[in-house]
Amino acid sequence: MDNDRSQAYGRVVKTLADLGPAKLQGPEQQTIRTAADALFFEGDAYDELAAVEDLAQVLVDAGRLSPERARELVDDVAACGPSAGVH
Amino acid sequence: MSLHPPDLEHGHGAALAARTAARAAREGLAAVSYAQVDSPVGRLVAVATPRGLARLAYELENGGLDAVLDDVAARLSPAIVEAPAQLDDVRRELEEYFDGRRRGFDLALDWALVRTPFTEGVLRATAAIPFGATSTYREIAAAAGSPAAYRATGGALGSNPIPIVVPCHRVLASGGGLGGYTGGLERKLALLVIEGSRLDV
Repeated sequence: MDNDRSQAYGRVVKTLADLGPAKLQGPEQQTIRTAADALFFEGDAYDELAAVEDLAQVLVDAGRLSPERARELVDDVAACGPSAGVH
Repeated sequence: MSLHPPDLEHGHGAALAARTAARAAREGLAAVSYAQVDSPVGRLVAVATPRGLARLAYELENGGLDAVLDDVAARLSPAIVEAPAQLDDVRRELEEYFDGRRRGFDLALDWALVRTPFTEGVLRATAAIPFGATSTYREIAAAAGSPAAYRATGGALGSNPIPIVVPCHRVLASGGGLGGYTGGLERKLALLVIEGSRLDV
């Protein structure tokens, strides 16, 4: 497990803590956590990453998350995996 | 059981391949055939089950023949035999494609190495991109039912077990850039040139 992935995972955990239940509902937090876990521990969890990308778009469209923050979150979740997004 | 006997293409070898397939069937294992196929973009390893072509790997980029077969053995079936005759159609259609005489593949495909619904949706959408045309990660993501999921789409395309035939090389970045490719960008570009695709890169 390389250091970059570990750091990305740490950033996801911190983001979830920072946003908290005031910004993200329980199922939304769970979607993000599940994707980060799956990418970190299993690797090619593209269904889970897709769910996070869809969720991020919903949050941006609803004005609940800025586009920049959403992009950072997706980038961090993707970076939990070994090769997500490098095709 | 993993068999890589020499010269299974004719006579004695074919009989051995048939016996191995029968034994695999008795033991509930999928009989998997493989062959090495030379091409202008490097040597390929083609792997087929009775349902169709399941894997087409760039040999060098995937760690060599043994690494490809070990991966197939772990993920599909350990009952693997070298049986070039079983893959004659694959070899012929690839030759025709690289010679510029074929614009689409008529091969039956086995999607057994595609593990998740999203990835399958991405690859099936990719398989529908016509010869000579290109698409983008965003368009493929939308076709797979997740319009925002272009990062996941890139990952799913990177896991494509049947490149060339499932033409992930036709998926480009939204700005017209090549994006990435499982076989390296030189091969992606070479395939697009073969197909006469218009590139703004």
